[in-house]
Amino acid sequence: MVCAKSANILYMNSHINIRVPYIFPACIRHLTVNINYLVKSMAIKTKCPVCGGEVSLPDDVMAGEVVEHDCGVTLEVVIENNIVKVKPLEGVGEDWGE
Amino acid sequence: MGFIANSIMLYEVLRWEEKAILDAAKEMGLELEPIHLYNTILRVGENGLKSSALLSSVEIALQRAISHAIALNSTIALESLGIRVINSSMSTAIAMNKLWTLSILSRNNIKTPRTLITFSEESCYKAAQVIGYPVVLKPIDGSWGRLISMARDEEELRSVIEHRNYIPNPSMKVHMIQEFVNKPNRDIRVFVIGDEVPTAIYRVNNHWITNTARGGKAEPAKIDDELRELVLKTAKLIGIEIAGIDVFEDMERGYVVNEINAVPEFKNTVAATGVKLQLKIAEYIKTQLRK
Repeated sequence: MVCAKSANILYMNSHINIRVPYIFPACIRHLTVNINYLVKSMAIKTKCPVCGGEVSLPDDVMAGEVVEHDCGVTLEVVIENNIVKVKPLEGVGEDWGE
Repeated sequence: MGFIANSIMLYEVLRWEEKAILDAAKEMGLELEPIHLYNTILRVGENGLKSSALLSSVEIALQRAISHAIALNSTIALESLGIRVINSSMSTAIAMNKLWTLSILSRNNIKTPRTLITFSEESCYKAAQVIGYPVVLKPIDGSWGRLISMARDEEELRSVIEHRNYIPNPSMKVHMIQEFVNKPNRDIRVFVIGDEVPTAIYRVNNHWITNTARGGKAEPAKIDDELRELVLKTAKLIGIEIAGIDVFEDMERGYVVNEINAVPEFKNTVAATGVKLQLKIAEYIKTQLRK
């Protein structure tokens, strides 16, 4: 059996900086799940691009989450190339909302 | 649980609603994989290009993008791969265009605000005279109550149109002019999920714009048979499965459908009514997967 999943999405679930094969067998999936379990209690640390202060993110943070930082800036979580970063949330889009 | 999800949730910004839906799905054992659209490349049709293998297993996608353009276009792209998106691109496009919505509803004898469309400044003044002041001007594709204006006379209308002329958006050349509906200081937001009408709120505001995004206060609303039938018929006409439908209570005509929201927000509704719409949505997705 072969389980297939994009590396990017898998990373979003695991939140650890490892690369996984684009297509991978089920046994590796179990390994990944175990790693997930082990890092469950780890917080992710990154830096605020505005004040340079530390931003602590929960271990289950997801791309697109919005975080209020101590310095007063609203930050958006970005996950690029398996790295969790934050950037200032851009203003409300012209076509946003219901 | 199997590893490959057969349902996904498309999103841009993870609001309270999206988190709540994911939690609800987890709670009921529905594998709903969140897909952040900013990190996603979607193939258009079976064109030979490589695409995420994840999508090959997906039956249903729940659309929760906050931007109208991204919601509609990501839906169209996924549909090209044979994936059923809730809501469909056609119903989303109709709901996002207030003129298109009113066109379909009025043709099917659903009461809507009396509306005229014009494409020039001079025609606006004539249209306003036909409707009678005060009139409401709104963009055909607006959201969160933005750029909706009321003009009580020609001078105010002139001022509104001048402002609109300086907005560099082609849709500003289309002027939707409506009657100011004589209603109490509230409207009704009714939720439709499939064939159900799980809850509704009054959006109360002393200001004539009642959106909760504009300060309208949410209170539980009564759903009588007439209202239930009206919103279900409205949703069916548009072909929409999950919707927030805004209804006015006109003092003379009764219920008047104002607009339809294809990606409705519901945080305030859950808080006001206690009805967990996130669970209802996840349940609906699960039910549809079995078909």
